[in-house]
Amino acid sequence: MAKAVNVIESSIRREVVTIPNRKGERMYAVVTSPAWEQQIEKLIIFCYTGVNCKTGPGGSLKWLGDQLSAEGYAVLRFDQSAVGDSQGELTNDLPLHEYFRAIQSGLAATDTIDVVEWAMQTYHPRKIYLLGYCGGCVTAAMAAVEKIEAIAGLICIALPVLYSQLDVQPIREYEARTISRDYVKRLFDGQSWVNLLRGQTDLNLLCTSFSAYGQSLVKKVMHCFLPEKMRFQLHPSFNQHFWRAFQELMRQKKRLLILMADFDDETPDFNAEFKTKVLDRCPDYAQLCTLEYLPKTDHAVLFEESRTNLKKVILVALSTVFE
Amino acid sequence: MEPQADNAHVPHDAASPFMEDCYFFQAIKKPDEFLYGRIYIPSEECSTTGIVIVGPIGYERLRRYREVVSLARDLSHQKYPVLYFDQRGEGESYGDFKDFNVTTRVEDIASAVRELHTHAKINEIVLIGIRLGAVLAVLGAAKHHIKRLVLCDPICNPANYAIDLLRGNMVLQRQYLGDSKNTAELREHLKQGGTISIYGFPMGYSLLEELEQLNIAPSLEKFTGKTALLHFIKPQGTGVKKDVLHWEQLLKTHGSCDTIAIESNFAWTEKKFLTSRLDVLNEEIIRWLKLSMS
Repeated sequence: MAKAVNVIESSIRREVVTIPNRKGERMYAVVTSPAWEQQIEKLIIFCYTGVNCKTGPGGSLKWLGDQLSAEGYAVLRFDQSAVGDSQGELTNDLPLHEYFRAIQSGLAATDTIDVVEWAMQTYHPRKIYLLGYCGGCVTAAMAAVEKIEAIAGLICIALPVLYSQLDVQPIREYEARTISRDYVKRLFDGQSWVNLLRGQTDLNLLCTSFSAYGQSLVKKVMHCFLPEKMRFQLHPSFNQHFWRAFQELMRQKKRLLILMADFDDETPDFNAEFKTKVLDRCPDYAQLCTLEYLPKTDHAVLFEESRTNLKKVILVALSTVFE
Repeated sequence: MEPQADNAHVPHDAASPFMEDCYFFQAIKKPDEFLYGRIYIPSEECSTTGIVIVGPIGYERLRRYREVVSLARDLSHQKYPVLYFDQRGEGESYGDFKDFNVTTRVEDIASAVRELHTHAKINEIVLIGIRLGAVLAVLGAAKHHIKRLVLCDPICNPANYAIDLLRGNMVLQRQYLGDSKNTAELREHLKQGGTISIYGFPMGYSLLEELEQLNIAPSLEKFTGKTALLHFIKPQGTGVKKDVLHWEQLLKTHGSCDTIAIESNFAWTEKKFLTSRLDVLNEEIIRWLKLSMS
């Protein structure tokens, strides 16, 4: 049985490639491209956080990549060192928030740069875009700065602007709001009262959610009374790696498409710490950044309707924002 | 037919004791369809016992992705040629999740077994099945004259697993859309040709139906080979679940079964740690493979 160099599925050519990083580790990637094109003209390189594999949560990145390839774009999805199928090792049993913090500080940036260089040498595409998902947005931004001439634009989905906290994560604003509202609805549901009396209600979750939601509301109110200088100071946990990369991308007039999901804990932080304090106050930055909110979309883009919408938004942007 | 080893395309890193690669190979009976495989072939003293890993499906496959890849590499360090593949509808393999079911997944084992034979001189194939992969391995064992099975944390009751999948969708719906159909409504929706998202994987009716109707007991009883049945317990925990004991009993009808408890905080649900490997599990599998060699 000979190895299949590439396969064709529904007008998409699919190829597994091996990309060595600068440490000599083998990174595995899948490249999808339109079957009708002999030469790769426009290439999108996906950068993900690295928690599972290059197909993304629920296969969302594979789905998106296939859809974009069906519309004429080549897509490269890869596993960075030590995750997915690739070689390399990380400390075992690393707390997830420590891993996220490492990604947000550039852990996967050099691997991504190596992938960009490999793609340039292998395919000589006319345009390369980087698409980051979650922590991969920071990876993409940092890599784009190092290969600034080669990168035509950046797409950021569910961009986390604050560093992952190193201590125990409290319930975050979106989750607290959703849970609190759910409990308020249940005030009018008899079964919920029966559950409460039977001791079947998660009182800890109830109290933590209301407390977290209450705190976020108080913070918003107090924020309005702060002096202007303090109101627009970047949050102490604001991702400085992303901030430096972002400023350089703006200086180089690179365009960014930022897509934030309605049902995502990252979105309130993004709105409060980046949109309000940076984009709304700096017209030069705002001009280069296109911001869209994805309705009825969760952080991992798990639902079919939200994926279809995501694909549409990206395709429109590729032919407008980045042209 | 003498198997011909075809490793011309499997790259070899000078520092590694085995060659490895990821690639596509053809599905049996469906030449236009393909499977994604990860192959690990020892460079020297390659064992004639080949190992095919039949992984979990859907979100469970993603939850413990790297751990299974590490298991494959550890086995190859021990001189076993190993193929870990994505079933059709999973991962990088052909097709969508909704279009494949238990039957097609068992067929894919045949493709993987054939594929592994092309890479090494193999006299015996061992199937390592993880979660639903363990059920698939049991179903596939008879077709491939399998004499040894390693079953890791098997889904002992596929019908209950199917209900859990439906419930998973309900939790997701409530969490994000504030709305949730009940199981009867979900089932009807599936019967009408719809799909439901199981943590992002669109499940169709075919998989649900096959899981609910599956009776694994006859296959367990008929298996005449040796089995390692590995199950997880919390540290300082004791006792074996009833389902696991039932499987053990059935496997001992015409074969032999070693039930091995793996002490670990491991969970298939929430992930709080980035675990690259389950050393305790890997070591037990390797130990059992050596001891059970006839």
